[in-house]
Amino acid sequence: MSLVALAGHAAQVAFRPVPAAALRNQDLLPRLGLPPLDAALRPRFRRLHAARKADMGPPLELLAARGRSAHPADWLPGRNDDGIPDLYLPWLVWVRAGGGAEARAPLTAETWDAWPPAERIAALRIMRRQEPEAARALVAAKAADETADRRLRLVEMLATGLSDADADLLSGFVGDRSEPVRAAARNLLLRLGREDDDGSRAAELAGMFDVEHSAAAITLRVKSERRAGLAARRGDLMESVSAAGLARALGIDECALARAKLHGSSADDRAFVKMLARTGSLAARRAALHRRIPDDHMPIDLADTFSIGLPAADRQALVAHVAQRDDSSFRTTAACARPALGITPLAAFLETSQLAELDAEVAGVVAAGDTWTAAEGRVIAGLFNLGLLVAADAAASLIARFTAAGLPPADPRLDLLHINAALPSETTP
Amino acid sequence: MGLTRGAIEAMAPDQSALKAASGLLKPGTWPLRARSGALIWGECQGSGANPYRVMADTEDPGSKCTCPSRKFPCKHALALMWMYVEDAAAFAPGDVPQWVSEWMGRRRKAAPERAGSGAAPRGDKSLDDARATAPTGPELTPAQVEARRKAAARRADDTARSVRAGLADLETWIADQLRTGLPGFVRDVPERCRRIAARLVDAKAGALAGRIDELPARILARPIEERIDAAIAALGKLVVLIRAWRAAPDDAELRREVVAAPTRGEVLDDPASLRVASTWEVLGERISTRRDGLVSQATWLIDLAAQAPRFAVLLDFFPASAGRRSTVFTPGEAFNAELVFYPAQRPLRAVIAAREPLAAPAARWADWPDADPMASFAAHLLAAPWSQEAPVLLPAGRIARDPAGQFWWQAVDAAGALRLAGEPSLLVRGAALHATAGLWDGARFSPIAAHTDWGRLVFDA
Repeated sequence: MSLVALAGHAAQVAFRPVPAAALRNQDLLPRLGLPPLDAALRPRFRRLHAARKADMGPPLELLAARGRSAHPADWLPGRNDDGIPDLYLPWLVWVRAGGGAEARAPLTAETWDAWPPAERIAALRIMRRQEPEAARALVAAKAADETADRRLRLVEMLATGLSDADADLLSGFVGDRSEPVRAAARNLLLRLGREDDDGSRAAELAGMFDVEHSAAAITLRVKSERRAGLAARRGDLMESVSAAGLARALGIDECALARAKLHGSSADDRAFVKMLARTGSLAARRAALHRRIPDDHMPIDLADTFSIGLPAADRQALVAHVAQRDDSSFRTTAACARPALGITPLAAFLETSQLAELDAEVAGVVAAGDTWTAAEGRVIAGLFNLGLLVAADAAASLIARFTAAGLPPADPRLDLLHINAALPSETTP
Repeated sequence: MGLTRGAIEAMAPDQSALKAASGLLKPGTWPLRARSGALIWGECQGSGANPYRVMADTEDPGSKCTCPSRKFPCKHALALMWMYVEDAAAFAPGDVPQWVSEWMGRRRKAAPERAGSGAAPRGDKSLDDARATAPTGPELTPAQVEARRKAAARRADDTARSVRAGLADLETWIADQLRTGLPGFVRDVPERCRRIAARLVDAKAGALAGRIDELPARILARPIEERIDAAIAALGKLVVLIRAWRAAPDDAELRREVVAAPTRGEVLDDPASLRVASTWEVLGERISTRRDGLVSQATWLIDLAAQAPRFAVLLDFFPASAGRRSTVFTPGEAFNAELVFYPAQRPLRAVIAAREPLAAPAARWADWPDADPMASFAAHLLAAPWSQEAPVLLPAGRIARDPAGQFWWQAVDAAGALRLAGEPSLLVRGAALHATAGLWDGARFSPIAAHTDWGRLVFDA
């Protein structure tokens, strides 16, 4: 008995387990380009994260727009989180490398095979923003050796920072043996205003319209023809023809095409607008923005497709128009604004019917007390989307507005507005 | 509607709740009472180590308490509101703390058509009746006092005799396990420990029975190749504890380890209890469910004003059936407090006698000069060799991995390494640890909190 007492004590005090082999430190989590969120705001951020689970892209974009990043104790990307701001790509690479357990040499043609495919894509996206030529050269050198799935990811990755310099590489992918790769390459070429054929498709599409010139604007009128399948063919052509190509075939300026009135079916309307949004040049999309968004006949749910690649000033103009017609608890407005969040003045929302509806719905849930109402989801969405959109002073005004309506100041539904109001007012370019 | 005596009587579930609340009207029971606008809140010190947090809305009456009572409102909430209507001035104006804001944020105001209509009728509920003290019995004669003293002494003798017999049984049991072979013991450890623990309960050695109840989980948590060593260590400590108790059965610490812990009141009233008034920081919390159906809630503190690391633990137990209990203290929170320690060679378990908010920023324990944490652990085990673990403060280090994928804490100069219990979070693995506080049991380190290059981090239990 004494022996077991001695042995037990010795085992606990005199002897200590030692590692059988050398230990390896994990890589330190890299610092990001923006400081973490202030400590006072972190509890609200954690509560927001707990409510939204994986869908943290928009709040993270707001933080980034206002010069802050999430604290890693409150949020780290998951291995498959692709919809997060580029700011967090170093963390994504670190997480995918087993939390820094596997140190890796920089991505080059020589180290290509040492990188897992998913991490290669993340690293290439970072490289596209910093050294686009280097990223393009890597894809050009290595894509041919990859499987069809991986070649598709590489082509889709080229959408980041897409420019005319990518046209030759994309043209090469148009002849790929995989149809999804060919389609992806064609779509990106269309965004650059380039067709992959001799213009015959654009000519065919142009032939389906009568063009009427007037002092005010150009009108495109769909020719009435009783040929079966013509409407469907027109829709297919609008998927594969660029705005510039159609304008050339019609003999008009691309911006004039963007401003043109279209007389056709609602399906023609949607397809035409999508074509302009997907393939129009910046000038053409600006022209379409001012002509079409205020038009009640323009499907508002397509508004966010115009925002891709637009400079911040154009996005703000878009936001002001969309907010007037938004009926989705400002969800469409927020989608149009991203990633330029947290800068819209309150004036853009004050006269909107959506804000008036939100006021009424907030009053309704307050009056209902702890009884659930159908408006609960819209109130949550509306307050959240406003929290994404508005500038700091506007956020503070909205908090005062809704607490005066009866919401408790500490109500979780106001969390993003509180965070917004407390973030620095200056935005990050 | 507003808060009135009538409203409190109406909302009380029954007269016995008001009676229980009347017993909590002593200001000394409430280390904190404050108000802001219509909100009032306070902390009520119950019989446990952690106070209950109580809050109420005096305008649209509603309340919440962190106690496990199923009555609503509970006696703590009733007492808080009762004290407010009688003497609102006793509630100091203050900023609404986070835990009250969170309750208000989740709380939905009662719909107007329901206000008042659901209130229970007052019936026979009365604050005045609850306050009236029960008539005391006649005073005892000296002979009766002596008789009661002798009866208590007889009971104490009976207990000591019973415990002595129980420990003899335990010693025989340990010898049997050694004689029949430790591999067999490890294989059947849950069943074998359950049987001897039941006999110790019968022998009035309840605390020791609880320790043996938890022994299988400790042994089986280790990988197979380490379980024999874990069994030797565990059985060896039991032998040490048995012999120590036999040598000093009246020692308060040994009585606590073998029979039962004193009550909070007994600790506070004992003039020999160590009292330390200092600035304390909450390191973190460890919650575990025991085999006996109790949940153990351990809140670890560190003394920020000490010359060398000094720790304390506030320990509470409550039935698992009471559900999840809110934590009272926030990790990282610091306050001035007088702690009263349970008697021990190396005092750790304590209760809070008095507490007040921190007036000035406190020192950081991460800035203390590096000391040899294993030396302090060895000193702890020398003084109290029956201890299963002890808190340590580790110097600068990193989390590292061995080729088998096991996690270790390693000093930055690679001079020492401790195997970790469990798997640390991703962030902890990628952080530079300036200092780490946790529990070491001789084989595994369980971190509680660390100061890192990403600020203060708390480790999940």
